[in-house]
Amino acid sequence: MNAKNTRNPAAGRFIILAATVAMVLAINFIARPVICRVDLTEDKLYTLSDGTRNILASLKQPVTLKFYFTESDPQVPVMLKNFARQVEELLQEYAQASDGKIILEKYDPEPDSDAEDWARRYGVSGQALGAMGPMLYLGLAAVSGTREAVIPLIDPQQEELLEYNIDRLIDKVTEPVRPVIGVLSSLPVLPPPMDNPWMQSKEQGWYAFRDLKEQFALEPVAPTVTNIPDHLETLMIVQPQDLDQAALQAIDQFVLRGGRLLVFADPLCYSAMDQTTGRMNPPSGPFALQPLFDAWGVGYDPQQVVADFDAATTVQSGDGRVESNPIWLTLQRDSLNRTNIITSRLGSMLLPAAGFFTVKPDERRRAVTLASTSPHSTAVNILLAQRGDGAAIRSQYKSGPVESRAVALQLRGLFTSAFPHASATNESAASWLNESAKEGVITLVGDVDLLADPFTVRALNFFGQTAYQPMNDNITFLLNTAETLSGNQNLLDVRTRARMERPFLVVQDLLKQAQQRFLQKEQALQEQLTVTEQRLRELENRKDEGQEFILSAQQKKEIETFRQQEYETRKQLKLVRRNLRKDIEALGLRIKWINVALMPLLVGVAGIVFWRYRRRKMKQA
Amino acid sequence: MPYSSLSAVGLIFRRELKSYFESPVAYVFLIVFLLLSGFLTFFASSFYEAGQADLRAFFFWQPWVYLLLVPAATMRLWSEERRTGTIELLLTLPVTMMQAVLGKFLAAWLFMAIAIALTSPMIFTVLWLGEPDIGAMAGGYLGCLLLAGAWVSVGCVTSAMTRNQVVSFVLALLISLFLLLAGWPPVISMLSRWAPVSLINAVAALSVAPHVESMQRGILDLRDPLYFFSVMAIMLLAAQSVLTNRKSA
Repeated sequence: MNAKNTRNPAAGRFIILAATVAMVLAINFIARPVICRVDLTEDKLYTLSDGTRNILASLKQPVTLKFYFTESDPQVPVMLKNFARQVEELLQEYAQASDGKIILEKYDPEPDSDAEDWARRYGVSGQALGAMGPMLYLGLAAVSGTREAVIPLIDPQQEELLEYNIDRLIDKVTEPVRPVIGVLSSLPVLPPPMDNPWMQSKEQGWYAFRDLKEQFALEPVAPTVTNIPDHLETLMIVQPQDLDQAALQAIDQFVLRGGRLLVFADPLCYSAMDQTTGRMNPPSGPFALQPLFDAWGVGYDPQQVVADFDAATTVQSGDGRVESNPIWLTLQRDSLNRTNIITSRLGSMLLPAAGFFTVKPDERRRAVTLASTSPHSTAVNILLAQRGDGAAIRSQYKSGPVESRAVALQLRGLFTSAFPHASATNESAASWLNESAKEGVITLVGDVDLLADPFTVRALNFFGQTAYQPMNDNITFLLNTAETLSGNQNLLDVRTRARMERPFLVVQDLLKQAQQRFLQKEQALQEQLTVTEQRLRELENRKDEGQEFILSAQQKKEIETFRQQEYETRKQLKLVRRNLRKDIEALGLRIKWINVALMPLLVGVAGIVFWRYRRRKMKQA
Repeated sequence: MPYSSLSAVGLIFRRELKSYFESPVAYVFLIVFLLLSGFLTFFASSFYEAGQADLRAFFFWQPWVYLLLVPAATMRLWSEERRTGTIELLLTLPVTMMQAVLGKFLAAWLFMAIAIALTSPMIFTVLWLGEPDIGAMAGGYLGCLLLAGAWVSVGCVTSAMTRNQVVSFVLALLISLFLLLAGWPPVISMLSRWAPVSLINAVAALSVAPHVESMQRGILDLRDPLYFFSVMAIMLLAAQSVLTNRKSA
C-alpha cells in the first residue's frame, strides 16, 4: 500500500478509485435480480403464506402469469416503479415455489407495440399519464389451457391484498368448476340482468357482491321460488321480506337436503330505508323466516337491536358533533371467534345496528358463535335506536338485562322440518323431508348493512379510475363465509393476512374507563335535568283562577331558581363530556415530554457534569 | 508495521471518539438531534394522536434529520486536521492513510449510533402503549443505522477535500440531498429531457429512499445493506485518495 508509484501517484490512485466504483456498481447491478430476503415482520407480511403454497402445490397444470408494466417510460413515477418491482419479485417467488408450474413472463407495453396489443386483449387496462402522455400499464393476466383471467390494474393502495388477488387469479384459471351461490334478496345487491345489451345500467349492485362474484357464480333466486334448484349447494338470503309459504317450504327442504344456508337479517336496515321518508321501504312486517327459525330453535326479535358500550363507534351526529354510538358496533378481535376459520384473523368489523340471536340447545346440532358483543351490552327497541336517543339507550342499559349477545353464529347438524304436515298437500310428497337427510349448515348474521357500500369501502380516485379501499374486514367476512361453505379453503388462509391494525391499547382502555364513568354521571345529571324541566313546566302552567297571564312574585322566583338549576346541570353535563378525553390528553402530554424533552435534558446534564469533571482534572494538572 | 492493522484502526478510532466527547459541540449536537427528531415525530406527524403502535412517523423523519446533522457531525473530521496541519503529525503514527480514514469513519459512525440509541424512549413508549411489530421496528432501526453510516462516509470525503468546515458541511449536504432525492420526479423529469433511459434508471437506482423504505417495513433484503456498504466503500476510498494526494502535493 505504501509502495507509491513515483511516476504519477495521483493517476494511480484515481485508477484504483475508478476501478472500485465500477466494481461496486457492477456488484450492485448483478445483485439486482438476486432475491435474498428475510421477512422480519411478526405477521410475515412479505413471505408467501401457507395457503398460497398449498394452492401452488396442488396445481395440476401449468399456469402462465403475464406481468404487464410500462417500465421504460421515464414519466412513470418512481413510487410506482418501486411498487412494480415488488410485485415482480413476489411473482418470482410464486414461480420459485411452484416447482415449475408457474411460468412468469414480463412485458413492457410500449406504445404501439405487440405487447400493448396483447395487454389490451387480455383486459389489462391502461391509464393515461397526463393529457398527452403515454399509457401506463400495471396489470397481470393468467393463462392456463384455454382459460384466462386478469387483474386489470394492480392497486398499490391494496398492497396487502396482492398475494390474495394473485391466488384468486390462479384459482380462477385452474378450478374446473366455479361454485354457484344462489342469492335471494329483497334489496338490489346484485346488478340487474342485462335485458338490453345496448343500455348501460347505472345500477351496479353492491361492491361486496361484485367482489364475491370474482370467486363465485351468483345466481339470483326469486322470492316466488317453490323449489331451490339442485345445482345450488349454497343459498344466501339477504334481508328476507314477503316470502310466501311455498318459498319458505323450499328453503326448509333445502336445509334438510344438506344445503348450506347463509342468512343476513337486519331489524334496522339503513339500506332498505326510503331516503325521503326515513321509513322502511317496503314497510316491515313480521319476520319472514320466523316459522323456519322456530323449527331450528333460533330466537330472533326483529324489533330489537343490540347496544354495546364497549364496541361503540365514533360517528358524526347530524349537528356535526362527534359522539360514540353504541348501536353501531365496531367488533374487534375480542368479539370475534379466534378459533373459527371464518373470523380467526379478522381485524375489525362494523355492524351498523344489528340484531342478535339466541339458540335453544339441541343435541343434534352444534352452535358456534362467530361474533358477539361484550358483556356491557343490552337490547334496545328499534324505534329508540332509530331516533338515536343516546340518553334513552343508556337508561335502558341501566335497567335492562346486560349480557353478551351473539350477532353472528353458525348452526351445523340435523334439523327438523318447519312444515311436518306439508307432505300431505305437496305434489312431491314422496320426496318430502321431515328430518335432515344430510348434515346442514346455517350461518346467521344479524345485520345487512355491513355488506353495503357506505359501510364497507371507500371510493378513491386512482389515476382516473375508481379504486375501492376496504374500511374494515366486513367483505372479508362475507368472502370467508362463502368460502367455507363452498369454495377453495386455501384462499381463506391467505385473505386475512392484511396489515393488522396495532392501536394504542392503553389509550383504548382509558377511553373505555372514561366512558363508563361518564355514563354514570351523565345518567344522574340527565335525570336531574329532566326533573328540573318538569318542575319548570308545572310552575309555568299553574295559574290560579283569576290570575290569567300574570304570575305572582313567588312563582316568578321559583321559576328563576329552577331555571338556574337547569343551567347549572347543563353546564355540568358539558364538563363531564369534556373530561372524557382529559385523561387521554394528559397521558399524551406526559409521553410527549418524556420523548421530546427528557433525553436532551439528560444529555445536557451529562455534558455539564462531564465538563466540570474535566475542568477539575485540568486544574489539578 | 509494528501495529496490526486492526489495532491501528482502533488507535485512531479511540482518539477520535475521545475528541468528540471532549468538545461541548457534541453535546449540543446530540441535544439538537434529539429535540428535532422528537419534535418532528410528535408534532409534525402527530404520532400520539394517530394512535398506531408503530414507528413509521419516527422513521419517516430520520433521513431528513440525518441530512442536516450528519454533515455537521463530520465536517471537522479532516478539515480541522488539515487546517491546523496536524495531518502530518497523525501520519507519523505507524498507521496507513486507509487505517486513519477507517478509524475516523468508525468513530463518527459510532457517534451517530449513540445519537440513534438515545432515541430509545420511543421504543419503550410504543411497547408500553400497544403491541408493535418488533421485527419491523428492528428493521427500521437497522435502516437508520446504515443510512447514517453511508452519509457519514460522504462527510468523510467532503471534509477531506477542504480545510473549511463550512464548505465541507455544504458539500456533504448537497451530496446527501442528491442521494436522497435521486429518484424524485422533478429530478427525473429534468434528466429525461436529454438523458437516455438507461442513465435515468441508473440515477434513480442510486437513490437511498427505496432501500431505507423496505427496511422500515421489516424486510431485510440483501441488496439494501449491499447498497449502503457500497456507498461507504466508494466514499472511504475516495477520501483516502484525496488525502494521500493532498499530502504528497
